This record gives sequence, structure tokens and C-alpha cells, in this order.
Amino acid sequence: MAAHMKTRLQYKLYFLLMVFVSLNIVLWSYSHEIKVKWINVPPVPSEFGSVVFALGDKQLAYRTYGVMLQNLGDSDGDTKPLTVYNYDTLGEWFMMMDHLDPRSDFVPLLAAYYFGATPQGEDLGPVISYLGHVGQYPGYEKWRWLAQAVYLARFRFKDNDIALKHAYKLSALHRPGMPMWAKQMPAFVMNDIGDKEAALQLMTSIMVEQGDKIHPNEVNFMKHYICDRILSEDESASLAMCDGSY
Amino acid sequence: MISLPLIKYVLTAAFRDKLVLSLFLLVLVGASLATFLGSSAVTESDQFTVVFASGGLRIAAILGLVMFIVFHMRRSFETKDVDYLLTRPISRISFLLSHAIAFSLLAIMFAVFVSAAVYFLGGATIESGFYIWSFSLMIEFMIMANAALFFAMVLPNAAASAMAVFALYLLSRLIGQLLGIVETGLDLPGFIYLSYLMQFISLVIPRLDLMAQTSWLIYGPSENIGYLFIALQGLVYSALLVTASLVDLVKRQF
Repeated sequence: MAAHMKTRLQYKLYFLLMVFVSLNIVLWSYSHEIKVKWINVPPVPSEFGSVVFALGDKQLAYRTYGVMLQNLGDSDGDTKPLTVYNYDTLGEWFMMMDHLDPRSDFVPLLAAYYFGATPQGEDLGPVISYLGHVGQYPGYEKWRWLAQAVYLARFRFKDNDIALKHAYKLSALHRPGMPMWAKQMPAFVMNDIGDKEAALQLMTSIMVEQGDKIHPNEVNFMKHYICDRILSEDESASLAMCDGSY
Repeated sequence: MISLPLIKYVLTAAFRDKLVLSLFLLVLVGASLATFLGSSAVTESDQFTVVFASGGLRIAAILGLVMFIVFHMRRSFETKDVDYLLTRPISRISFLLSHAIAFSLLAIMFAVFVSAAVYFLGGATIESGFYIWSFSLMIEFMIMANAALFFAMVLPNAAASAMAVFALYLLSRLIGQLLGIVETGLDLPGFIYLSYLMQFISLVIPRLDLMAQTSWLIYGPSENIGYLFIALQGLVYSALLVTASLVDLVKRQF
């Protein structure tokens, strides 16, 4: 009797098992169509929200978000091209990351050399703005990010006004070991946009004010730039500085 | 006042529960994962490894330490070990202080394991802030060990105690941010009362956000935080927790 009841109970349980397996398959028929989709650059958390998940550890949050930004387009087994990224949101991410750690060069490097490599140069506004911001920090060789901002603005974003604005910021900096070409950057941009008079004035003033303090090779380069790049052949012929070799 | 056999008893329980082996495996897996993640970064990969190892292992070690203490204490109550031990010539004060010291020793052991792993992974990348970071980590673990002891004494079950300790840890690590929001102000109805409440709560919350900052490992120690502040924070807050646990134990009817 007991064995008979046990068998009946087993049959009932088998039946229930089949019912739940069937229900599971019904549910699967709905859910298997839902797949992970790339939602583009995710929204930026607030400063407080950004550190909560790392239990208040700003540096851990910075590094975790850093890896996330680096691998942003690698999802659902696919790799997204930079052309589909939302660069405005990326710019917000860069600034949020700057609050978490203004000293690291990881995000500036990603912005300049990775995100800056997009074929759509017109997207680069937020990247240039960010690099222009971090380039003014006093840390070791941070000024190079300003130079990168000038390059991206001139040759990729094709906005010489923005390039000139950042070039002036760069030339106004006084950092140990900063080369002379950084000081001359506004002259390069002005010469490029056709404002040769202003370019000449700036280069000449640098030579007059600092000519005795800078290396002769730098002086020769400046003479070459003034005589061969800024001035025309006729103009340079009338200038005593352009006589002889340099 | 302090019972050495009782300290040995707790430490033996930790070894018997394979806590050391678990800690060793945890450090090994955590360090490997940190190395893997760090090496995937396009630049500053050594810094990434150090930060992932130090930040990740700290959280994992806190989880392990708190879980052991809470479950050990609750098990001792449920199996009547506490009742038995208190029938021996051990006072309630001695019982609690011995447990606090034993758990603090375990916290030191956890901190040494984690610091050694971070030092091994960091190599030349590690800045002069490593020593103060390690000391600070040790104090943080001791505070949390005593917090786990307190909640395991006053709350009736292990799950609730563990949740309470983790809530305290989260609050302690975020209290600086919360006080910053209070200072800045928010356009919310009743915000003024919430800010008073938050400031009141912060009176009894340790400033763990100021301690063991992983940025010290990369950029050197902070100018605002020194050994004295860290030691005082550990001493004062641990004393508060142990005294509160003692009050509960002395009042308790067995």
C-alpha cells in the first residue's frame, strides 16, 4: 500500500516536473529574443554616485571607470567604431573622471590618442575642450595635452580660433623643461590662418626678449621660420636677420 | 583582565575553520585578477594593478573577517559555548576583551596578507605612501573586527549582524561625501532636518574614507592625514565599540 502510494506520488511529481519544464520553454520563447544591445556611451553618474560602488574609494572608481571607457565599444561580441560614439557624453565622462583623479594621464591619453583618432573630426569638440582643461594642470609634462588640443583643433576639428585659444594658453604656461616651440605655438597657428603680421610680431618679440637665454639651435630655427615660412622671399631679402645661413 | 587561553581558543577556531587558507586563496585569486585587469589597460598598467589589488582585496578581506567574526560569535551563543565559558573563572569583561584582542589579531593578520600582496604586485610603482596605507588598513580592519563583535553581541542573528556591519562600513567609507553634500546643500523639502540628522549620525561614525586611500600608493601620502590621526581613530572608535559590547554583555541574562 505504502509502495503503491509512493509510486503515485512519484508520477505526480514527474508530471509537475514536466509542467515546469514546459513553462520554462514557454518563457524562453519570449526571453531568447531579448539580447544585450550596445546603448552607446552610458550616462555619466554624479560625483557621489561615481564613488558609491567603490565604497568611497575615488582611485578605485577612477581605475574601474578607466577600464570601462577603454573597452566601451566591446560588447555583445561586437566592436563598435568610434564614429558611432556619442562624443558629448564622452566629454562629460572625461570631466567626471577629472574630478576623481586630476593627476593621472590615463584618461587624457585615451581622449587624445584613442578617442581623438575618430575619422569624424567634427566630433572632437569635447575632447579638445577636455585636453585644453587638463593641459593647464601643473603636473609633470601636463602641458603636452594642451599641445595635443591645439593639434586636434587645427588639423582634425579644423577650427583655428579654438586652436589659437589653446595655443595662447600653452604659450602662457611656465613649466620646467617646456620646449621653445610650445611658447611659439600661437605664431604657428596665426601663420597657418594667414595672420602673418601677428605671427611675425610674436616670433620677433620672443627673439628679442629671450634670444640671449635660448639655445643657438632654437634661435636658428626661429630665424628660419620667420624668414622662410612667415615672410615672402622679397620681404625676407630686405631683413638683415635673414642674411646668411642659419 | 585578559584571558590568554581564551584568545588562543578563538584563534584556534579561526585556524580550524580554515580562515587562513581561505584568506590565502582570496589573496591569490584577487591578486591574479588585479594583474589581469591591470595589464589590459593601455597605459599606467602597474598603477591599475596596484589600485585593483589594494581596493579589491580590502573589500574582500573585510567581507571575510566580518563573516567569520559574526558567525563565530552567533554560533558560540547558539551552541551555549558562551554560557559554558562564563561558568569558568573568566569574568564577562575578560571574556569580551579577550575576544576583542583575538579578533584584532586576526584583523592584523588580514592586513599583513593584503599589504604583502599589494607590495609584491606594486614593486617600483608603489610610492612612499605604502607604509601609512598598510598601517591605516590594519587599523581599519581592527575597527571593523570590533564592529562585527559589537553587532554579533547585540543583534539576535548572524545575517542581521553581518548586514548591520556592512551598512556601517558603507556609511563610514561614504561619510565624507555625505557631509560634503550637507555642506553644499540641496534644494529638497526638509533638507535642513536631514542635514542635522546626518551630522548627528556622523558623530558616531568613523572616518574610514580618510584612511587607507589607494591614491597614497600611487601619489604618496596625503598631507592632512598622519599616523597619529589614524592611531587615535582606531583607538577611540574601537574603545567605543568594545565598551558598548561590554554594556550589553554585562546587562545580559543567561
